[in-house]
Amino acid sequence: MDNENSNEELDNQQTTLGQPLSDFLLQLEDYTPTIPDAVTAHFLQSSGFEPKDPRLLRLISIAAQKFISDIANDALQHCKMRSSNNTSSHSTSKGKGSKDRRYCLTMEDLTPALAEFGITIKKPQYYV
Amino acid sequence: MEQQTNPYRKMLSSAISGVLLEAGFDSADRDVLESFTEMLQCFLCEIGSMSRNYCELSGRCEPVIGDVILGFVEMGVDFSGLQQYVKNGKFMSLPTLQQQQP
Repeated sequence: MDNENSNEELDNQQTTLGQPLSDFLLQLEDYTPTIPDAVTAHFLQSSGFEPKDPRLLRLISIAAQKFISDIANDALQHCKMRSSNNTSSHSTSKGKGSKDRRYCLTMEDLTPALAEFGITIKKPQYYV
Repeated sequence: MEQQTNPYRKMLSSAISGVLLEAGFDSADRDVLESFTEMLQCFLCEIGSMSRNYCELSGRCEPVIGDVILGFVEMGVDFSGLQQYVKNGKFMSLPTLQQQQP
């Protein structure tokens, strides 16, 4: 009985692994990514890729946007952690300060976030 | 302030600014924005060439979704969270460009 159930689960998984992509592609018409289609198309064309289906373009735009968004979220966590450490070490008033805090994305936060994605980023020697 | 000459890169950095705002940042350094722009441009070019290669290797001249998927796999992009990301997020769209006055 258990075996049958696990087999069924396996079958379901196998169908759902291939299924969502085609379903997902159908939904893509409704979502407009922040990166404009024309811009994505230009960079894809520069490497010789010219899809006729605009949904492929959308898929790539959304994947690229997610790539940036994931890194940004990671960097935000670093930024929050760093600033909360700073305030707790030498600050007396919290309440209002922590609510009104503004987050600025700097290289200090971006470097460890990118390191988690396997991207090493370094300033060149001549950078001013 | 240095001028960005390529309009496509300009649009990319505006889009990145939008994504960063959505993520919860209020501002970003210029070098960070430039790094992000470079990375995004590289990402798009790379997925383009990967997909084209896969497409041509299978003897087609019209790319299909499978080529793009294989390109993503080759690049190590996790594809599974994409649907969730689309469902969760309300993407900000860029304002229409204004015609520049000479």
